[in-house]
Amino acid sequence: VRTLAPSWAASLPRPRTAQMPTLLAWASVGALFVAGTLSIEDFASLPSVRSLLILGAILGIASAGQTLVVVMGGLDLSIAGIMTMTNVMIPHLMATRGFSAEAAIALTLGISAIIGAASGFTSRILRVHPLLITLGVGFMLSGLLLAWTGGAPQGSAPTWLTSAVSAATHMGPIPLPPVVAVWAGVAVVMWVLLNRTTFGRQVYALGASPEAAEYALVRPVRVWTIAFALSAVLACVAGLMLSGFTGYGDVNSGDPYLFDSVAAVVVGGTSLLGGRGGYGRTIAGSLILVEIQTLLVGLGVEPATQDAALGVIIVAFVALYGRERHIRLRM
Amino acid sequence: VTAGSLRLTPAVRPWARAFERHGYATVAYALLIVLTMVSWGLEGDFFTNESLSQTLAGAAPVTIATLAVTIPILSGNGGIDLSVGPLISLINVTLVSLTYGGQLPGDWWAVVPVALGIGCASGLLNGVLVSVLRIQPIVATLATFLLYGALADMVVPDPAATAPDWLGRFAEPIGPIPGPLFPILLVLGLWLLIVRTPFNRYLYATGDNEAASFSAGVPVVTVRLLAYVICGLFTAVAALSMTALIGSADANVGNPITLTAIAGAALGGTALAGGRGGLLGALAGGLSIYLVENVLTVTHVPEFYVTFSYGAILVASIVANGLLVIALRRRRA
Repeated sequence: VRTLAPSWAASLPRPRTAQMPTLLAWASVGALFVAGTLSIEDFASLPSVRSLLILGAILGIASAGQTLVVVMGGLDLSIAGIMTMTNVMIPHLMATRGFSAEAAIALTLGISAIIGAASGFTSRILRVHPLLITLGVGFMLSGLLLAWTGGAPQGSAPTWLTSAVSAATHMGPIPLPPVVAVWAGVAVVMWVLLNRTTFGRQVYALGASPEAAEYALVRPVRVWTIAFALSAVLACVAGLMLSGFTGYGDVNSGDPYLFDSVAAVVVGGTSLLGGRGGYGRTIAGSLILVEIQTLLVGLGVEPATQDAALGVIIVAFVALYGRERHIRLRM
Repeated sequence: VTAGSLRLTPAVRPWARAFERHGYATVAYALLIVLTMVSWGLEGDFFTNESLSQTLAGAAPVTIATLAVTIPILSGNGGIDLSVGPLISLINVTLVSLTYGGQLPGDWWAVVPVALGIGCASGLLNGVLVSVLRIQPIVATLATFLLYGALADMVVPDPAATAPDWLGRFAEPIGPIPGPLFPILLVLGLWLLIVRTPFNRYLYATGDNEAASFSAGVPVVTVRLLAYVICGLFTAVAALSMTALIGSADANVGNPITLTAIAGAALGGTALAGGRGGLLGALAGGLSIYLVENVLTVTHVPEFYVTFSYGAILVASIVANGLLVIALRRRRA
């Protein structure tokens, strides 16, 4: 490509526009933290930061699979359903069917993987939007759970799980509960998966251009099946953490994550159009959402006003750095 | 021109041409016919004016909301409107508390314009966020979903507040005709007028291929903006139907409709990728969604299974629609 710029101009450091959303998202995490510290007493205290990180971890793990699927150009609305399923099934199996905790968890993980794989496979092979398939799967799951438990799930989460998510538990000298370490583990796995594996490159390739990816010998059905299975497994892990948090099964426990998992991805700066973004941004997005919610609660804002404020703030963040380009620039 | 392509010209094969245009709705109408037959079998008096009015009164809000939400979906590029449910709630509580409190006359000439005005304004906000600010539709309308829901919660009406009497007549037979048919026909009539304008072709063109439409001079930004405004306008009619049905104010009454309306649109054969589908299918899709619930209620199936059936029917109909599209493409090839 010939340009009018002199040759030495190419050697100047160029602004990395691709990095802008990541920088802005993390700057917002910092800014919100400062705002919280200034406006609410004890916002920066250890117990407050700890509970912030616990809530952030559950949302962050729930949004990990969403990030993977969104980068690939899809969307997963069954994450909430799978989280609820995990939350209800494990205590219920242990209380009514005599399952050990390990067996119940293994069974739930297996079922999640199968459900996710089936959603990804179906939506890709029939070329129907995954939003609808996963929404339908979510409906089916919550209906089945209600029917199976009669709306009143039995049992409670294993105590080791409850303590892993409890603010009172420390990991040795680090004054944070193990759930934060689980989140860090998920983050490392996600980073390696997206940046250092063939599968990760194929996910980006499919998101950027499905047609071009096929010419590059990416097998779309296989990648979609695996990605949705992984998303479901990660949702199951998030559901486990949620069980530790709630302590017992609740048929509505996953509901907030239906849209929050999408919001965390988008507020972090990953485009729903696919092909761009990464999990680092989603971590920032999860922290932003949790910080905003904590701030609003701390300021004593009424629940209805909290929702309205959250809606306005989501739009403000996305307008700041998540806007699509004008059609003229997309051609 | 080959003999094969001539066979599909309108003069020779009018039915084939109609199928080319409306074939996407096959699954929805097949399901609607089956569900109507089942309902008729279960309730012998299903087709009497009285019973039909009752069924249609229940079906009207979700059916009209399905028609509404189909329009942004047709505009493509991930177009969707999650805010229809809370918008129905917001219009419902606003109307009932204003008329009951006496700030607004309860007559139709006052109530209807106010409802439609709120609908258009909310649709305009969605449209500006999506089309002008270029925020991805699912995020923009999620934000307004939260916003409208919160506004509905903030309007705290008198618990005894009731809707104007004349509105309730649209949930009962009016003469020999079921009253709830009127709002549905109003929306379909408005749509038939809109279809006569260039907007219709622009909408499908934008949904099918935004870049090509833009190059061809289609005002894609305005088209998408209008898609959301019309969605808001139709949602306001859905809110009037809902108010007619419940006769009171309820800040959460519309919220579940968001997901059922999207399910109805998908069932009606409208592709989420945009540019394919239409309101004819959405009509059958929305009615079917309601009839499923109705059949399950009549047969005393526990409420738990209603949610499950929504999901199962949504998945099954999407799979059937997907297979239909593949079959149509093969036939054409």
